[in-house]
Amino acid sequence: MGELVELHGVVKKFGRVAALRGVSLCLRRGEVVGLLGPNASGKTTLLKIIMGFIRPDRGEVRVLGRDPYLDPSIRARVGYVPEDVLLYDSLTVREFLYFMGRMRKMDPSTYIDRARLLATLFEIEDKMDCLVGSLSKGDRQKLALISALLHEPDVLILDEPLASLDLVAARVLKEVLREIRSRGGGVIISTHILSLAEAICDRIYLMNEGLIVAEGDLRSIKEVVGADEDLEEVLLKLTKKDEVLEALIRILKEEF
Amino acid sequence: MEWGEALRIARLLEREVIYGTYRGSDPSLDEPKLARLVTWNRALGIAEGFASLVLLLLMVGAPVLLASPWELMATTIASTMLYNVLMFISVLMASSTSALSLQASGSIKVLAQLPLGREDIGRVVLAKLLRSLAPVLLVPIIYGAIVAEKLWLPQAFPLVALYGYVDVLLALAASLALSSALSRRMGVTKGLRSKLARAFWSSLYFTAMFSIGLLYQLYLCSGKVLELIKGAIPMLPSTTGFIYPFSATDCISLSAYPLGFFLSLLCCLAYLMSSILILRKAIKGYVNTALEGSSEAELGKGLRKPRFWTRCLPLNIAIKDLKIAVRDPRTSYIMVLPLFSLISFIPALLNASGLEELREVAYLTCMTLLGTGCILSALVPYQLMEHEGGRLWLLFSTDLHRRELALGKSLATAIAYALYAFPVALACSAALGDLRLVAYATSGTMLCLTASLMSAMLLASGASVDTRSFHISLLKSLCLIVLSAVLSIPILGPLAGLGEDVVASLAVSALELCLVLALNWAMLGR
Ligand SMILES: Nc1ncnc2c1ncn2[C@@H]1O[C@H](COP(=O)(O)OP(=O)(O)O)[C@@H](O)[C@H]1O
Ligand SMILES: [Mg+2]
Repeated sequence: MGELVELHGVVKKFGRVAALRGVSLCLRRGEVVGLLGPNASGKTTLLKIIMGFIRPDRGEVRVLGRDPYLDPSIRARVGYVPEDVLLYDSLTVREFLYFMGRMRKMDPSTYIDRARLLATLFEIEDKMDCLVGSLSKGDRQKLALISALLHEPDVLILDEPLASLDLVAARVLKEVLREIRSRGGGVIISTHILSLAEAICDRIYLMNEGLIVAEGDLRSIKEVVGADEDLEEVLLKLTKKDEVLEALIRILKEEF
Repeated sequence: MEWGEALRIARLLEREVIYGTYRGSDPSLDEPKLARLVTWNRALGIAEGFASLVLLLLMVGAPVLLASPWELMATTIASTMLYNVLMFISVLMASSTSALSLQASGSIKVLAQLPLGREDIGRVVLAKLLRSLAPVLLVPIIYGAIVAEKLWLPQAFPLVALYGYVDVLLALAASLALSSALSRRMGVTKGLRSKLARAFWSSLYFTAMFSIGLLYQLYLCSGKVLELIKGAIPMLPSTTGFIYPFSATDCISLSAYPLGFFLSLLCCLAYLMSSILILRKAIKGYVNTALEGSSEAELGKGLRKPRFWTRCLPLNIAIKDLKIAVRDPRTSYIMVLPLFSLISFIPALLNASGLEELREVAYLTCMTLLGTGCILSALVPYQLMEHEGGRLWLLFSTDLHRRELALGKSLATAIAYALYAFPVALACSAALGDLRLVAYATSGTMLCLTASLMSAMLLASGASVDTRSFHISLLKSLCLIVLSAVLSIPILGPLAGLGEDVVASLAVSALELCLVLALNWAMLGR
């Protein structure tokens, strides 16, 4: 009870590729969780399953207590930003945000205020009447974030959000996450950038080849690996050498 | 770069498009399956190409083959005129959509990262366009042979065939120029200027679509005018035989004399060379635009607050689609394609003698517009969904139902239909004093909603966040068109109850309808 997202033994295959091979995780209230792992480790697939976009082959998924695939109504309380952000290029930023507000069945006065507030926070308020197609990549990312935050979601799901965000935007995002956390919401962020995970996340799931290979807060993972060793290096090895991976798994298993 | 290499890259681009189409709807898509799909799509493309080949030959070759000896010359000249126009139109229609989608997909920018010069990229673009036209490129040879054989005039063969290729080259150039003009909305800043610029580009697109029909009318009219001049000044015929596009028809009679043939051939080769140069220039412009990208214009301020009725989700989607359609017409030009049918009635309206005939023509015009709109309405949602490709995460991350999505698309279709059907129907019924037309417009709007809803449901049921582009099989689209055609019988029916002349013109409009459908179909298949 009370957990925002719960996954048990989730398996998903695409043809012969096993994207997820039995993943279990949970997101509690007031928590920011990081999914850390190299490319093709299954992060995006996992997030899509949480959104209910894909049905897992096996395993159980609960978001806000319901199955997201069978009951899409929970999406009214979830915000999502995918990896590659395609938007309606021939709408203006304002038209786009109002459109999304209406699609979220929000009250006009609410979404107008909220759009203005978030646009000011992310410093794109002067671009409200530009066409979305004329925005830079970073600004598009900000716009996608704003549209995911428009309806004050309980659960926020971000797939590699900081790839093209500048420093200011990253700081603002941190503020926003703090706000969600403080009102009992939860956030799942996938990333392959360690420093980001370190700065933002309360807890981390380390993924590789469709499996969760480690779980815990960053400090304890670091302690296990050894304070001197650069985590980035370890992660790199993790993806390349099986012995290192196995060693790490063994060490982590002993610890937790 | 060799042509073989360019063709290979063009094949890769095609494969990319197919991957994008199936990726979303088919999670079990892997390498062998993709290879099968590619083969299957290629076979389908070839089959469609041959279907258009047969269709074109039936339209231009059959009359010549079936003509009785005493009307052979007149028929051949009329057919040759039609042949030139059809070659130009069909190539323009087919390749402008490929050129636009190629540009929109961003594949050209990807190509630029390979060690390829702009010239090489241009060659790939041309290879891609030609690949999809391949069977149609046989038409000039076959038609030239038919004409030469029927008239016992072997010299006519090179002339007729080469003029066909001049049409193809010019149409290719025009389609490339059109698509780069559309995506280049450059350097315009806020305010009125940007609005004007947008309006200009939108109208440019529509003008281009309409101008095809207008050009044909103009061509026919100017033929008549030339005939008059020829009658007045007996020396002129020898010179009009050298002015394109008239020379493409007149070359037949000229080739009967050795000197005429020689001069005609020289002239034809000159046109061929210049059309090659024009095409080169167009390709260069197209590649440059595609690489530099389009810096979209900004819009002025002063947007109003949202209205209360936008709280209905499907309507909200429909309004968004219409907004995008106005700003970016290539996302939904099928919506207004029926207006195209009006053009063919302009001469009849102008030439009508007496009030009675004018009434008849006005009635026919209005009914054809309403009927075409209904029949094409099944295809509009396809185009609207196509534009959602890759953006569906926006809609699906809300708790939107697929049914609401489908309804939104069909509402957009029906609203667009109503926007042109009612004004035309009102104008015609005011002129005729016959209120039935407004009633037909109303029922037409409903039919349109029904037909488009069916196709939208079909599309929405297979949609997922990963869907990049949509694909309806040949059979499904055929069924949809037949279904909406059956649905529109009430609209087309009343037309049959008019006089004798009307039946003939009905046949003409039906033929035109088939043509529009066939062309659209060919475009949708790509
Ligand atoms: N729609 C799909 N079809 C086929 N394979 C897929 C699809 N989506 C993901 N995969 C495969 O699943 C694996 C995991 O991918 P993904 O979840 O995108 O990883 P990540 O986000 O960690 O980079 C990859 O090997 C990828 O190729
Ligand atoms: Mg990913």
